[in-house]
Amino acid sequence: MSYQILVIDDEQAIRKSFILALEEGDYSVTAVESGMKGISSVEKQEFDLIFLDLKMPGLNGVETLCEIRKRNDKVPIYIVTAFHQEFFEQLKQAWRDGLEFELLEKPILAEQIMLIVRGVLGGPINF
Amino acid sequence: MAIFEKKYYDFALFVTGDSGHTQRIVDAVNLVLEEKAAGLYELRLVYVMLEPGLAKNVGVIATPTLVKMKPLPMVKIFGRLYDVEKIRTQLSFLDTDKRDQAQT
Repeated sequence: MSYQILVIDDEQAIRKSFILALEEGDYSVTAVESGMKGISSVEKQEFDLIFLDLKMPGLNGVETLCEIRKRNDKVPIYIVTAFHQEFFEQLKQAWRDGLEFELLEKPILAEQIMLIVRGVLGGPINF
Repeated sequence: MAIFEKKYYDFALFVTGDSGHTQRIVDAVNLVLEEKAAGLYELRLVYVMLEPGLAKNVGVIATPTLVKMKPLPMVKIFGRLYDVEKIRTQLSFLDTDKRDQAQT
């Protein structure tokens, strides 16, 4: 049985890069373009790993994270964002509220996507 | 004094921030480092949310990542760092170091 991965990102190029990077492996990728669709996906099925863009129109990454955590507090969620203090300000409140998440720096290369997924689902791995 | 006893490992553990999950990782990493390099290492905790620049400088792209900062070469280990058995496998180079020094 393949691992189920959810990618929530408003940029089509990003969603496509995840799909292409993981198509060779034992992974089934669901890629959606909004926080609302991401929440809907989580309600419909169990995922083993979620990648969530921080900056999205409509429901942003933090709001989406909060909603997903109400429905599933165990699935690893990687917030995909630039590693700059200004972007983390939004996340700090979520952190203070006790929401669990990990961080993944963007932009991310295709070969790094596979390593990240392997590290989370089968790892750890040597980078 | 054997040469190995003078060796000093500098590890940095890059995590998102302080939490129960982070503590689980710290405990697992410390357990393995104590097994393999007791008294010979320092483990620093870096909260990426507070020090993103440091993560970038070291080339850490995701949390959690354990980095052997010194001695060179730098080693970065990413992933399920709460899994003691898997950490043991990834840090097996510490056993090799010990054997190499014992033979010197």
